Amino acid sequence: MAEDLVIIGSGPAGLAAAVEAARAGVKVTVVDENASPGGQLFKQIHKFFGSEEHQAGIRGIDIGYRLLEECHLAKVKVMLNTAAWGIFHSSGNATTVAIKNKNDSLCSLDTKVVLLATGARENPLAFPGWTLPGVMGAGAAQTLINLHRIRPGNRVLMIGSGNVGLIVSYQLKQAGADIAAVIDIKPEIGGWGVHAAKLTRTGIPILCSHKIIEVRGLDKVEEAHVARVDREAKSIPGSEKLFKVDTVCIAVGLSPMAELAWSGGCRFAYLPELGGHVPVHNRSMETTRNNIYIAGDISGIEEASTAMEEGKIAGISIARSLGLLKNECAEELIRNKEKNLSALRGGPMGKTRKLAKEKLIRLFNIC
Amino acid sequence: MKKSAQAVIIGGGIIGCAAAYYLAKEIDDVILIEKKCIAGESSGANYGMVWQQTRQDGYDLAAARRSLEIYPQLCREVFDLDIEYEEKGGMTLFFTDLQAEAAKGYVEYKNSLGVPVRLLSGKETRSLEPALSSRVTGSLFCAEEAQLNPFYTTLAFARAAQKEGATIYQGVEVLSINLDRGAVCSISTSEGKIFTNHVINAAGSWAGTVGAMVGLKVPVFPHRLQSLVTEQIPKLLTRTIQGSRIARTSEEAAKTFQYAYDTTGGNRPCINQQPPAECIIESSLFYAKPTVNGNIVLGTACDFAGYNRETSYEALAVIAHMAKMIIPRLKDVNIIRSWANFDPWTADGIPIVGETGVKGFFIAAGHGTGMSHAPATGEALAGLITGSAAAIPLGEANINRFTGYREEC
Ligand SMILES: Cc1cc2nc3c(=O)[nH]c(=O)nc-3n(C[C@H](O)[C@H](O)[C@H](O)COP(=O)(O)OP(=O)(O)OC[C@H]3O[C@@H](n4cnc5c(N)ncnc54)[C@H](O)[C@@H]3O)c2cc1C
Ligand SMILES: Cc1cc2nc3c(=O)[nH]c(=O)nc-3n(C[C@H](O)[C@H](O)[C@H](O)COP(=O)(O)OP(=O)(O)OC[C@H]3O[C@@H](n4cnc5c(N)ncnc54)[C@H](O)[C@@H]3O)c2cc1C
Repeated sequence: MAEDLVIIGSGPAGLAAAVEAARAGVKVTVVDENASPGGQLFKQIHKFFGSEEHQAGIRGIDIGYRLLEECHLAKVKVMLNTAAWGIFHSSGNATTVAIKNKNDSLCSLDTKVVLLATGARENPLAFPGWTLPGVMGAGAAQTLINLHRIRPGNRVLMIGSGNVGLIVSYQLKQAGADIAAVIDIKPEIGGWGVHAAKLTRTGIPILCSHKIIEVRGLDKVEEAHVARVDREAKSIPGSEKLFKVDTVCIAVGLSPMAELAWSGGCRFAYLPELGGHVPVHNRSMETTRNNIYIAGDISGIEEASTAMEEGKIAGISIARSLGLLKNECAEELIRNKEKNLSALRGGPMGKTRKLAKEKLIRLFNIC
Repeated sequence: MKKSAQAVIIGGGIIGCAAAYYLAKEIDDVILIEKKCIAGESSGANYGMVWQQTRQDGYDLAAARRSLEIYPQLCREVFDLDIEYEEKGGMTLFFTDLQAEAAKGYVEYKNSLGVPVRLLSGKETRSLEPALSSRVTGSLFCAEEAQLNPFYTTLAFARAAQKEGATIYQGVEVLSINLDRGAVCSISTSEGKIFTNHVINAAGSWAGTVGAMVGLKVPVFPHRLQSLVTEQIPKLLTRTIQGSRIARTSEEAAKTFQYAYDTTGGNRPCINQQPPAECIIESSLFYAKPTVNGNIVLGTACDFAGYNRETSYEALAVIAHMAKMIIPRLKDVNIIRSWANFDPWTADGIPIVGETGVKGFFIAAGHGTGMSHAPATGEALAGLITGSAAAIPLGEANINRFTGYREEC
């Protein structure tokens, strides 16, 4: 048996878990399909929202550097360019994590415990013309500008006014692009007021009750047609607007990336408040399959700050299950993190998530 | 639920549904009972090959050839949905010169049985399937073979049966079969009791459990097969291919074209004959089936793991490895799903079809290649029950070939 703990995903959840577990003496390996660690963090050049004692006001990228430093000190092994493609129960109590390494060859890691911290994926939105080059996820646009320093286009229409849509619009603007408009099918803005205000101050219109009708262009995006919608979300004739743009970004929500949990046989629940189908887990972040834990966006779409707290709970619980932390000691640490989580899940939006997360944990005990 | 029926079929796989169709054509009040859903087990998890080159002489081959005859007619006249039946021929690849040598004798033997299989060189093979690797040194090609969509075909049979008046209950499990003076008189299900004098055990890999309900040993075992399916891609293959086990010695080469895991050594199979214990994942045959939608289904890695339907790392890695070796362009193609399911297995590779020592209790189970057998099986079984003339003789497939099948169990 090679490993104590294999963590899949090196975003805030995975790294925070790695640090906690490794500090308690767990032998940890983190795998990530990307060439650099950090998950979403290194794209977040803005100051974080969230409550004050939780690093709000610090930029995501700086939180990333701090976590990496801590991983390094705790001797966490990080394998990059390594995609995990399956979880199998092998003989005894062991779990096999199937991976594809940078040479494209298949191999596997045997481990006592697995933590899935795979994050989320952007929801697609289909409309006529959505396959034209120039239509992309907002997250992809963010990766291009903030990681690769490439501006995807010069004039952008953003679909979706949640935090992702708002932040990425602002960052595209900072990167030198024009934002034609941010549209949202709902009658009100989805994201935080601070982010929306930043946009409107620069004169970018946020059009609520508007939807995309069609994107046109010969072999790439040339124009986008939008229309106002009525209460049933049907477009109102005569309200059509045309935007000459070369890029259309889609920011219509995220879904937990939970395929590995499916393949590992974990039980799921459908909770739209958390982004759809999510693996059921208990207070220790353990799923219904022994020795498979989850943390971060995979267990419900939230934020980097909650992802880190969940990651810490998972790391502590795993150390306890491996006999490296005394129960009382682990309990105290966990209660502490739970308090943080509870604070992070304040406010009207946080409350919905809080209730949904509590339901997810209750479902664990119902077979 | 209905209280009585002339005949009750247990199992809504391809065999049960085909039997229901042919029986309902002849008699009233046919009921089919399926514990999960139509095509919810093996019949929805397979490659849909309707082949004859791999079938053993006798009942096995006769059933496959008869089915190849009937399917086109079913498609034209009976089925109300497109089962994607395509007569594109079947191809078995091999990889060494020793196997090419062994293939010559095999082709002669098969031709003498009336199977129009031909030997193709590596070049000829690649002219038919350009995506195949240069490691393929030749193939056996049989033009009179087909492929179909297994879900749609099973569903088409179920719908045809309903049109003929059969009733299908899904989500209902048969729990016991009640006898009266040694003859079937009723069954008990999770939803109640049905009086009937004819029960057909078409429970696939669960035929043993159903057999035990009347005190019979039915030696069918679940043979686990695993599969991968790719994303949709531009056309890469025209037809379903089978890759043989690579043979490096002449003894191995001679065994290239033995398909059934015949553990009987040509003797009468024994009722207690268990599946081979050794792990056979690595030496499994390879399959690649291009679907109408543009996905490619890849398999197999076989073993016996009871009713454990989890996939395993070893198996999926072996399949992926074979796929890359045989069809190099698959290297950069994404896999979207994987699954394991059970192929009903018998010791001599021949299904168990026909009447039994228990009056009114019939078996149609243990099909290693049920897609290739179903129409013929359904037709013959209906003939047996209604007393009409049989298109293919069932004798060889009877359970009484297993010594001791009526021992207590
Ligand atoms: C535009 C934007 C702005 C945001 N702003 C804020 C903010 O201000 N404050 C805040 O708290 N949160 C913010 N968030 C949310 C935050 O980034 C996420 O909630 C957080 O990153 C989730 O962390 P995670 O560790 O669960 O997943 P991720 O950070 O997504 O990390 C998952 C990692 O796992 C890898 N991975 C996935 N599957 C596999 C596999 N099979 N094999 C190998 N590796 C795999 C991924 O490539 C990725 O690197 C923002 C998100 C976005 C998109
Ligand atoms: C990966 C794979 C590839 C294959 N490829 C091919 C191929 O290309 N060509 C080919 O000809 N064959 C192929 N086969 C074989 C083929 O799938 C089987 O021969 C065929 O599906 C068997 O059909 P069946 O109806 O006997 O069994 P099943 O489809 O398994 O149906 C039996 C049904 O009985 C039900 N049942 C069991 N117990 C009860 C009960 N007590 N009460 C009610 N219902 C019950 C089960 O739920 C099940 O639905 C393949 C098999 C596999 C696994």
